[in-house]
Amino acid sequence: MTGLATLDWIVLLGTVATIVLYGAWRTRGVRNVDSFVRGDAQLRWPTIGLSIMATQASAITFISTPGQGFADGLRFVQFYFGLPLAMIVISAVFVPVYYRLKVRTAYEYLEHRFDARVRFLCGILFLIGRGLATGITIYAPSIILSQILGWPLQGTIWAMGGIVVIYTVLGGTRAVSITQTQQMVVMLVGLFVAAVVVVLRLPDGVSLPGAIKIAGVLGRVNPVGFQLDLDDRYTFWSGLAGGFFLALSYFGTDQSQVQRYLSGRSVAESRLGLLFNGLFKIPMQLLILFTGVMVFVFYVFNRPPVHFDRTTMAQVEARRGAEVATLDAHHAAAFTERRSAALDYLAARGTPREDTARTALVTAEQHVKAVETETHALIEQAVPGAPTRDTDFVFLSFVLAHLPVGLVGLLIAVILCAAMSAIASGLIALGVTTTVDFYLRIRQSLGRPPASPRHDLRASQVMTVLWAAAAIGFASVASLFANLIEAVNILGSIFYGPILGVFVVALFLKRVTATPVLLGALAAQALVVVLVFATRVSFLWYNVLGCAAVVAVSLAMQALWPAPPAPP
Amino acid sequence: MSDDPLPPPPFWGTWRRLYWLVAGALVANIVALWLLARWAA
Repeated sequence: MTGLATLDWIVLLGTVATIVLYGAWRTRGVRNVDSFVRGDAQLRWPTIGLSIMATQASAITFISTPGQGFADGLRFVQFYFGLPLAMIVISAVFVPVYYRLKVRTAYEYLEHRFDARVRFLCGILFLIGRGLATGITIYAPSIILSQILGWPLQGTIWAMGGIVVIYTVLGGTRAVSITQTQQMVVMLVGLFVAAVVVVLRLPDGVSLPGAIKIAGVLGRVNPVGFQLDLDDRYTFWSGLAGGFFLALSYFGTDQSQVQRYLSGRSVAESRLGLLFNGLFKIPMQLLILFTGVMVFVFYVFNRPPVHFDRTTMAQVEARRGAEVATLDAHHAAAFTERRSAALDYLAARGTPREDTARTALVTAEQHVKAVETETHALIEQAVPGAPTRDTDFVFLSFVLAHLPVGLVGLLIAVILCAAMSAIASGLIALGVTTTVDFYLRIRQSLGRPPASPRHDLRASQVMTVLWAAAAIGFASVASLFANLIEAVNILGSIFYGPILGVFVVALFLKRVTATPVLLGALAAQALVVVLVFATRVSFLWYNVLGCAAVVAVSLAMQALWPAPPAPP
Repeated sequence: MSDDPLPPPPFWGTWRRLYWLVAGALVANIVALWLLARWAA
């Protein structure tokens, strides 16, 4: 556990408080539900673009992704290859339709195109998936921050959720977008500073090209892989095809994103915001992964801890002290060997010895990996059920140990900003969907007269508070269930394909009617559940296959069940 | 060949230059990353 210095606390609290207070002040006085849901449609494209990026960038992006770069190199960037193409399709096809029908949620469009049953089905699938995901968005960073910084877990969860719900409920979607713009600026500045500091912390004599070469020899500069392997999670093909469908469903049909660009002043502003995301998403993710790769090179020359998850390691040490001491000796020897091999490789570059030095470096890396395997085995024996993966702890451990005072506060602020931006989008989308697609719609079905604008606004605010309470409550108890996070992550990813399929049918297959698409969605959902639990197909393909199944079943059902002829 | 070009498909419309810019940036990113990987390996 490491405490923060006073200057770090000042930077951290100053950054977060300024953003929250500024956002709340700028958006005070929300008058009606339209203002709450669409921010009076006043936003320009820079705000929309940054808000879209901030919604997707959760705290885990800044905690886990550098760790992924550290352990696995740049290959995760392929996951985003389909995203720019999805931005083009959404700009060209989805945005004009949403604007023409003046819908407030993505699911409202489905009633215009099909009927209320399809709207309710997709709305419910969204609420389940996004509700659980928002709970995890609060829980996942809280557990890591509490372990590394020694903050109380429940306090972190309630503080993070509580601050977000106040400005979200008071200022509506415009408060979310405006705070996200500031938060995204903090994230980009913090990220850039971190990348520069990591490179500056490399030892004398190790240049940036030299560091990249070492990372390349040790398998960390691997951003494009053309192998065709359905089990391999990140390849060029899965990134381009699977990533395209995932981005299409996330940005085109998930209300937490749709609401960001429906707050735009015009179709043009929304399109520019989406295309801005299409241009800058890959460079941003690359910078995060590259920072992780440079942290890896830093630890080639500076001895890292045996295991970055110190909480788990302390438990192992308490039970198997002698074995941990032996492991530590093995780790020191493997580190020294790899460090010498890396220095030798740098000296041998461009000489006839280069190939020999490269082989020695690769061999030394294998010895380090062998010690890692030994560590994982010891953890499993000493603390059964404890997590053996430590990559989520790598970047924060580096920040706390090696960044100067003040910058540590800035980097923790980056993580909190990322968490708050993702939580805010999730909560307001949940509140708005529950109000617009269910509460107000059911009132209308029951023949109730329209309520006052003030009543509808209060309903939206109450729904948002209720969802916040549910998400915070879920985050509070999440630690009690060991496998819950994994289950929730799987659950969240299984709805996207079928929902996207419904929208694809709605937009591109004009002759398909409501009942066939409803049956198609249910059949596709069953197929995706089978894929998840009975096969090893990578999750990126669930969206492609789920979407394709809706289209295929809908067309087949439509052929069997033709629409009645239009009245003369 | 007619002097009058066919109207652009509605998918592209007046936004086609920006769409090409985004798609072109993606291709440029992929090529740059592939070259980086080849150099570093």
